[in-house]
Amino acid sequence: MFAHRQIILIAALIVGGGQALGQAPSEDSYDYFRLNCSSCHTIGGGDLVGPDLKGVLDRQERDWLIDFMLDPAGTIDGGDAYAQEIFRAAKGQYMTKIPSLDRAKAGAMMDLITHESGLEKSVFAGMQLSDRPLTRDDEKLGRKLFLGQAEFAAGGPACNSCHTLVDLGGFGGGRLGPDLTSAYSRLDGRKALSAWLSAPPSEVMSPVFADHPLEGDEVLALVAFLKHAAASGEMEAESLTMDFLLASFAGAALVLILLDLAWRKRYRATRRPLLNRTRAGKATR
Amino acid sequence: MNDFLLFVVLPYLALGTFFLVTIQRYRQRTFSYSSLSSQFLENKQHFWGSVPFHYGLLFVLGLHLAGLFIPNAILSWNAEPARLFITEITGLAMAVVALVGVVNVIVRRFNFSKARRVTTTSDWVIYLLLVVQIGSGIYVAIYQGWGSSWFATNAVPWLWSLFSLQPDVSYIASMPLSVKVHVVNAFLLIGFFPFTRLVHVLVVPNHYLWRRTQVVLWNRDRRRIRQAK
Amino acid sequence: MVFHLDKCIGCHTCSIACKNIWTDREGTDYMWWNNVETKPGGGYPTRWEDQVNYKGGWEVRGGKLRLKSTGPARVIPNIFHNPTMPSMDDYYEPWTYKYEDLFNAPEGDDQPTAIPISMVTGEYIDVEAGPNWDDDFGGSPVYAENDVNLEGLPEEVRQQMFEIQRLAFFYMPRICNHCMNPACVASCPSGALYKRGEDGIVLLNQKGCRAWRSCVSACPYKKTYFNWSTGKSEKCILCYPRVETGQAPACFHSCVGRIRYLGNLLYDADRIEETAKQDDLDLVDAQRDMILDPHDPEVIAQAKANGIADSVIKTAQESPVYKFVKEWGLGLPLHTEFRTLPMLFYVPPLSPVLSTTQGGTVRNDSDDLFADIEKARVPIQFMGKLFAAGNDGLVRYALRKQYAVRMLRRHLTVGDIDLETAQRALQEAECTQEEADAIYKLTSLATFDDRFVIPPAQREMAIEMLNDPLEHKKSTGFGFREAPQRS
Repeated sequence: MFAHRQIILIAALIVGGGQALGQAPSEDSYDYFRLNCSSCHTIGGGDLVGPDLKGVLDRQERDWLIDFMLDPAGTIDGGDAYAQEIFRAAKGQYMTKIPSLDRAKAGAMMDLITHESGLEKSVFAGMQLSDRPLTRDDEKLGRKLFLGQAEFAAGGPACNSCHTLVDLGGFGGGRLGPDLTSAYSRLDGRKALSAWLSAPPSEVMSPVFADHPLEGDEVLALVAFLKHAAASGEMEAESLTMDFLLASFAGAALVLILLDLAWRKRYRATRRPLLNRTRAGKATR
Repeated sequence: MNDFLLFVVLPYLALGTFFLVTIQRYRQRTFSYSSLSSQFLENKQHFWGSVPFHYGLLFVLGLHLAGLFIPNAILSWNAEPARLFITEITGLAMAVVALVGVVNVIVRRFNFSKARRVTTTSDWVIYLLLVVQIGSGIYVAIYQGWGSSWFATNAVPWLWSLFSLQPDVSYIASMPLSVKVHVVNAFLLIGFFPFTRLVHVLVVPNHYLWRRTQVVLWNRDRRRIRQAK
Repeated sequence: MVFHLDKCIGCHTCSIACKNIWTDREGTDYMWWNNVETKPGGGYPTRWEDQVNYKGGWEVRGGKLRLKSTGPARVIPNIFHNPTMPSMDDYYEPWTYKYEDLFNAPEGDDQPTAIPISMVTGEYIDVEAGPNWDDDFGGSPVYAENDVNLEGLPEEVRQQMFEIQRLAFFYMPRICNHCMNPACVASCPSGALYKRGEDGIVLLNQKGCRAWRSCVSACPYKKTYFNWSTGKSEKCILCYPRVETGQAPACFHSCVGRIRYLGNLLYDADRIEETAKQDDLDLVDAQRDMILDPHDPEVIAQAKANGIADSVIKTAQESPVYKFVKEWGLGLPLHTEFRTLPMLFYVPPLSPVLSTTQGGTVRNDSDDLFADIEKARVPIQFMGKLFAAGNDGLVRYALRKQYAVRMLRRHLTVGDIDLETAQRALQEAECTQEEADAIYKLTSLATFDDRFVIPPAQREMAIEMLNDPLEHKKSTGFGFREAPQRS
């Protein structure tokens, strides 16, 4: 009875130690990958904007990969042959440099990728989005979400705060981020764009959307809307900016006129006009 | 590193200076707590400088403060594109009005020798900072448009991270240069504020709105003196 | 305060006394807390009496007494540009001369000249206005003819006034009126202005002033001034440091013609608003009603209950101001239609006598004893507008009484008027012989102690033992001892 209990205890110790030796990635690493990488990369789900990372450590040295992650643009522009090759494969899209990434974190990502590559189906094999065909309703909802007329469930800001697009009406959308008219074609269609939108990785967007991720249906709706927009052709952003400027300048002129009117009875001068009046009177006499 | 200096160290330095020096100056040199008006020396151009500048700036500043304190209200107002356009056009129009004002102020201070006589070096510094501030703001409004929305989502969290003493520069670090100039200059203004004529902002006469019309002061408590006999 | 204009000779000694003590500092150089104007004339600042233009003083609107220039609802919107504030141009740009040019000029055929330079900018200026630019009818086609009080006078009266044979003017010294209902105090957004309870002097706390300049607009007499160098308003302080030590203010003390009288009055402050709301023609009488009889036992009892010291009640009983204003009805407030209830009263001046010479003797033309007053060179209507808000009867009363006293004195000293005529004159002027004697004595023979009856007061702070009062001469203002540094 006594010995039996001991054996169970030892077994438990061995199992526990075995897990420790297997270096299972921490929950933090999963979150970090989801937030910063998954919008461009899958593990075993095929290429998105960036290449499928399944077994990437078999293709390239760990240290090279870490260096590349820390300074993607520098490595590519530095003329490294392999970097050039993947740059071409990504249709000239530079990999985003992640501000919070350091050598330790990059190492953790390597471990995560190794671990997930060994599994039959990684959680990052592909976004868990429906493959259903996009409908006209999706497109309409997408437009509303883009303009802010419909709210994102998690409270993220509307796209038009920072982005414009052909055919938005009025003075278009914001200009802090790029024009998204060609986003659909630039990101090579539905799959990559969906992944991108699921966790926007750009430096400006990631802090904002980290706590307010888009939901699956919202992503699909936006994809539908962006696909429709891509088919509508180029927009003339400059003329919209000019319209906006002219309207504002007209407003400013109006305000100045109103200020003058509001204080039209303001005091101006007494002595000098009196002198001038009297002198003029004398001259005509 | 630079981001840390500009968006963490500078704001804290500026805000610290602002609070310490305004209080110290009020306690020790109350006499200097006002703006040295030059309207008496030049009356006509003064209107076209001071009035557009103040009204324009107050309006735009009000929008910024609304974004800071009630960002969700601003966002839901902006949810309808027509309302967003109204906000943006009025905002830019008032900024242009403020710019017209500050330029008039500078031209007037430069042209009228009597007004120049009462213009100090710190005044010129303030005018320079104000021109950069309003100018960069207008640039941002035009080229990084719809700031009324993205200020609330991208910049306000950074400001609140400062106020809650957990500075997070990731929101602001990736902003375009023009926005960074606008932000850095704003904190320079806040830092210089207590050393300049700007302190007049802190002594707006709200008390007048409810005090009795006439003010009569007695040096002695008359009744007590009488009753003491 | 009473200024007896019949005695003013327009020497400006009062102005100089004041300037040398209080306004010789930078930023105050254009200020004349005491100035002397020629009437008719434009005044300083130009046409200050025109409140359609300057919006000074009070008006009755919707049954309430309101400031013309500002109010709680208007102060904030108007704070960036005061829409009722005159500029230095309407006063004058102060100047001095480059005196060293006289000494440093190289030898030559020409006399060296000292060129005027602005005391604001230090640049050369063309002097084109001054604080008494229209003195003695200087530039009268511009200034005297545009006197605000001439507006509304019949055309023939106006014509007469400027006929060269009849031309007459008088002088009117002006200081802060230390009003019962001061518009400057009511307008100050910062509450820096206040009226002292003890002696009624209106003062301005230099540390409380925030340069909103409302007082400059609100004062219909334009007697608060903006110091452009320190950014603070300043005004006549009735030389309170002198008053507190029992001395008359400098302008009173130095007055060559002895036209000035100082004394305290007891009045019912609860009636201020009701009084100031009266119709124009009733204003002077209403204000006189407010002034209480310091000999009335009821008034004395109430004053004591309110904590007024016995000594103050005693000086009120001896006050020459009370005699001129209440007992004799000679003292009249200036432009009482501004409704600030000024506490400076003027005895209106008699014009030069109208008479003709016949065979070497000078005689009056009329059987009417007071013909000179009715046909006076400075018409009663003009003075009625100045001193009684258009109630000419009050001016006529004051002039007739003075004239009757003068006739009595002519009878007693010269003897060319018989007693009967003099007595008839007194009777028609509603004046007893005792009253005439008292008027004569206080007008002509009064000593310092008769003219200035100053209630004893406690000094705020005596510092001259510890600090040299001249240490900051020409830099410090008043009410604080450090230099007026802004930055």
